Amino acid sequence: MKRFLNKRNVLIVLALIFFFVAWNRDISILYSLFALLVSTLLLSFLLPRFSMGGVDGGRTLQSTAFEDDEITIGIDLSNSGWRNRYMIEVIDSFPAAQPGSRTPMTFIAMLKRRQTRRYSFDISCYKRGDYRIGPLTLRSSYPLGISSVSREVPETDTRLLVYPSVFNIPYLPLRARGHMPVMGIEAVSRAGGSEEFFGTREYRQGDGMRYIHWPSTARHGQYIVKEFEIRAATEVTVILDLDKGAEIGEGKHTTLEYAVKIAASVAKYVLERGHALQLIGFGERPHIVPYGKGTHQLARVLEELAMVYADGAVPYHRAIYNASDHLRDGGTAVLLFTHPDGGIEEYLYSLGLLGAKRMGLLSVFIDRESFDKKEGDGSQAMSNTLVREVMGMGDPVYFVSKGDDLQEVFSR
Amino acid sequence: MREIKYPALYISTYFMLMTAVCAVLPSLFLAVPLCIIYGIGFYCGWNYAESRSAAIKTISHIFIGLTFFVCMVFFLTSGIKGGLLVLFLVLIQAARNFTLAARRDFYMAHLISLILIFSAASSDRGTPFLSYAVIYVIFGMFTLMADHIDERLGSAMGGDHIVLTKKLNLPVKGVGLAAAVIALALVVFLITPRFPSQRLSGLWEPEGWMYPKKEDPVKHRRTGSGSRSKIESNGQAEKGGGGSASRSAGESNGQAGKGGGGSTSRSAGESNGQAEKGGGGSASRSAGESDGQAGKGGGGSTSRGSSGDRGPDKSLGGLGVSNEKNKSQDLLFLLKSRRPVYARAKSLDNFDGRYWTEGTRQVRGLYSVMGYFSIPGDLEGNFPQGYIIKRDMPGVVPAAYKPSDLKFPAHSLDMDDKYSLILPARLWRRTKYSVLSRVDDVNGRPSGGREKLSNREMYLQLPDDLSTDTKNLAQSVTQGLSGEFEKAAAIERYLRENYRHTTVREVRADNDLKLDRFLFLSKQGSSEYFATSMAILLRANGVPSRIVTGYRATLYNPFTGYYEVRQRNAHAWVEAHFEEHGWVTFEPTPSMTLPAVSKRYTIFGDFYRYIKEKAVSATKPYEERWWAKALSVITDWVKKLFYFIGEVWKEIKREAKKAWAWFRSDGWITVCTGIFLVGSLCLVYRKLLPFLWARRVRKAIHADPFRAVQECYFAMEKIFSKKGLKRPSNYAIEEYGKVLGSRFIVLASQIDTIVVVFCNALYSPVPVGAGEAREVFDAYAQIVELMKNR
Repeated sequence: MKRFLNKRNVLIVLALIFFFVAWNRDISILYSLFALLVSTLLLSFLLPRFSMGGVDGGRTLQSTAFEDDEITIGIDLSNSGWRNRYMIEVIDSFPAAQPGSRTPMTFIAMLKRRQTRRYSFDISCYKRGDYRIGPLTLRSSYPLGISSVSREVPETDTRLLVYPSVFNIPYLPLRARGHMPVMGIEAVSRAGGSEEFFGTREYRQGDGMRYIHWPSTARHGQYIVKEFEIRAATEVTVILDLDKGAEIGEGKHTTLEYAVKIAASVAKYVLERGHALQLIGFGERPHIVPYGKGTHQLARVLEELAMVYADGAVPYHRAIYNASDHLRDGGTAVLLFTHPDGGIEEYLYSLGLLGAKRMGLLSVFIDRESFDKKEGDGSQAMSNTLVREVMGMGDPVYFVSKGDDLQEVFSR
Repeated sequence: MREIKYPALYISTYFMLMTAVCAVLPSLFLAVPLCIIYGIGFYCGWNYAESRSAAIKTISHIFIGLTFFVCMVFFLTSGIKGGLLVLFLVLIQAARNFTLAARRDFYMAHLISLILIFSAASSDRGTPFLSYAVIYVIFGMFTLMADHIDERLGSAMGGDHIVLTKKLNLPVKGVGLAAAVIALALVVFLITPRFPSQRLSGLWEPEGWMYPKKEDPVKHRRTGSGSRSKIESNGQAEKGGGGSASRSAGESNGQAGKGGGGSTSRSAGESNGQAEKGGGGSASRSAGESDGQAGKGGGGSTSRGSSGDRGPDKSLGGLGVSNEKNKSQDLLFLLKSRRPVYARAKSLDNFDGRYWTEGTRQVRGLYSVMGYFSIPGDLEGNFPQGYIIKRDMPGVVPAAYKPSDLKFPAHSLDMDDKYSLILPARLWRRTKYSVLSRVDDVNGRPSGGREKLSNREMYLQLPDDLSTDTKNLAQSVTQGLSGEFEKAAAIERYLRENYRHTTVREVRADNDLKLDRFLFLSKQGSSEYFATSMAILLRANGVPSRIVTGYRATLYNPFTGYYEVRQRNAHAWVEAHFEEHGWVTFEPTPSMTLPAVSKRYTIFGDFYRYIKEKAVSATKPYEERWWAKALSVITDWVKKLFYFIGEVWKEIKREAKKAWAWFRSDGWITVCTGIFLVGSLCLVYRKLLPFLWARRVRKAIHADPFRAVQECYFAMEKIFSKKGLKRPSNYAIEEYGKVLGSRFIVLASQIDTIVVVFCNALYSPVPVGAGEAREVFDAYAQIVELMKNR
């Protein structure tokens, strides 16, 4: 009903009423009102067609952004015609914005002849993703807003990659297992090494003779060795659940979005501290970013995370199982449980594989029910069992529900 | 509901509403306070949109409460009336304006204004409403524009968003747009088809019940009579019984027949502040009768004595047919009908050589409680008319001949045997009545239908002193004609073609109607001279005739839909009686034409006539001014131009007809042969064209190698353009060559040859030689050959 109740239809109906009443009652004045309405309608249909001549436009836009960032879109409008143009509307297609603002409209009241105007507006990136922005559409409903004419501006399609938002994690207990002396997240000090000088201490059995600090030894009358600080690095693997059923919720409050956000934040934390990180997920296509370090790796991981969707058919226990092939011994695996379907045995088997590789586990359980309270498929009971099992392994476990402040959760 | 953001929307809505209020309210005295309330309301509304003030909201609620209370009191005391409902709507809207912040209130404002405009339109207020309607639509258009901007402001995220919310003026060329809309509206208005309306198939309800009652003799005899009219033929042989007013007075005094200038009529006329000159036909005549001058209408002793200028108009029912009043632009009445009408007031049959008077006549009284009079005679009406009287008029009811039904706001009126409807008083302004007449069409002339003539001699009466010349003229005009209708038509044609119509009245010492002078000496005069002459010439030929006075209702106002009848439209014409047709109207006055039955469905012609008439009327007082003279010259030239175009068009049509006739007989063979030959020649030429071109280029190879290369290059471009590879304007010749080479690898070397040589020819200091030109031509020939099969 609302679709038909617009100004154009109201005026058409009104004109028809005027005409029929004028005809029936032979009231000439109503004929004149009819004529005025018809002429108004005719002009409102014709004028917008003339008011777009010579108007061209373009858009400037950055190519990447983070989720929730407000970015600036620049619009250039030019009028190559000899007449002023009025009320030129510029409509963009911006699927990265929140629903309801995905076709942002801007307008300028007047574009003088041979004039070029530049203006900008800000828009917020609602959700991560790889978006095709555009095309830019020019529209004119001048002067009455009854009928409009629109024209797409060619070659205004651009790509915008929206990275997932990241939060600051103050501390993550990334631990290495096994005998590897350099493994561990904390900076450890030992005699020798090639890192920075840390201090001196008494000689212990096993310290190399070349690290003995002879002046101090002479002063103290006992062996004093030089101690150096070395930074131990670990390898962290984030495994995502990209099974079709893994995503529950609406908008940006879905289990997958939370998982991606956490993965991105963990990646930032890990890579900022010099560790190596790899990302593994099995969606419609495998999303694997091999081990790497540094900012470049963070960009790669964020780029990959911007493009992951829950479109796969690999259950999470299977994903862990598959991922174990890509893991090296003694690293840390970050597991993000969003939809622990399948049996507990499968999960324990997969976790056992990780244990066999002496992987340290960091498990994040995302409360599925808080995202969709209607659901009651029995997965919660299984999830509880799994939580108990994982906790029993002695590895750190985090719990996330919808609406939680993730930074706070990971600060505990 | 979204809020209004654009301040100009308040202003345009305000003016739109004000226009609607002014259109619906009868006086500005009532409209001004409402305009002030509206203005305050809108100001409050604008503030409320920004501040959400509770005080304004309270004021709004109090105003609404008061409006309800006042209107309820009125409803309860005086009942629901249309005007009160309109007032209620206006006040409610004024109250809502105080908090006009959301679009819902804005839409309500539009709805109320529309209802007001409808209400004003239904009251038929004519031209003033039309101007209001135009202004309303213009403001409505501005409102639409402002609404459009406001809508965009509501959803826009940038651009001039902030700037516009602070601005009051529209960023558009509103005046030019309004002019364009009005101009286009005029065109639409003129070409809109006008189908016959249902409204005119019936009779209007009468308005203006203010006529004095006359005793209904039937009612005295029978109680409980219905609303239909009751006819009483009182059998009064009323000789020269002029005005109904005097007669009614006479009757009320119990005087049969000869009403002696009753004081009632005069006092009625005087009470209206007008000298009883118009209706005076009756008043003065009755005075004349009282002086014993029976049979002479008009010009009683009183009139003669008082004015000393007893013009012919006084003998014609006092309508002002040919006196100074005839020039007056005063609007007398409006007529609603499907076609132009000769609205008949009186008919005169007795001519004494100087004046026309009514002869012996039968007068019937018509009575009706509800004002619905049915004329006796079992006539079936087919031509409805509605009349709205704008000025006081003589006491006769104008109607097309022959009336069959009448709805008139009086309980009684009289009708004579010539179907003239006579009132007991003057015809007051604001009277609204309708008539259903029987109008048949006899060779394009209105007729009242077949009718038997009871007193034939009366309509053949001739003055005793009718000159021999006149009689001879009558015979000579109709010489060789046997039928009465043909004779009448011949006389009409003779008068129309040989005499000139003038509205300037000749004042002479005796100042009477000298027929001979008109017919044989001056040959120019008013419509009365023409009508009299024709009637007399008809009678001299034995055709019963009479002179009729009334009004020409031929000027249609396309904007109001009414025929406008002014004092200057008072007119005299002739009715002639034929056994087979009854009374048929004739128009002997040259500049007038009988109202024809129109089959058109647009009002373009009416509009042209109306504008022309208005322009002529407007410029007439200034006809001595230079610009009026210049305008007159231009008009003459335009007329001549149109005449020339018309003549050319006629000639073209004539020639086209001849050509068509020739084509249908044997011309088609010639035409077909011609088409075949021309087609063949075109085909041959097209086939020969490449050879001719090649020959020209071959010659140029030695004579002008540059031209040959140039021709080949452009010809090559043409070939590839046809294949969809037109050279873009930003491509250099070499670039274009490369593109072509990559697309047509087989032709790459040929294309390259042409492009390279052409570039050399253009830019190299060394002139291109015949050898290169030959190479280019050969390459081009190969391209043509290879492209044939692609």
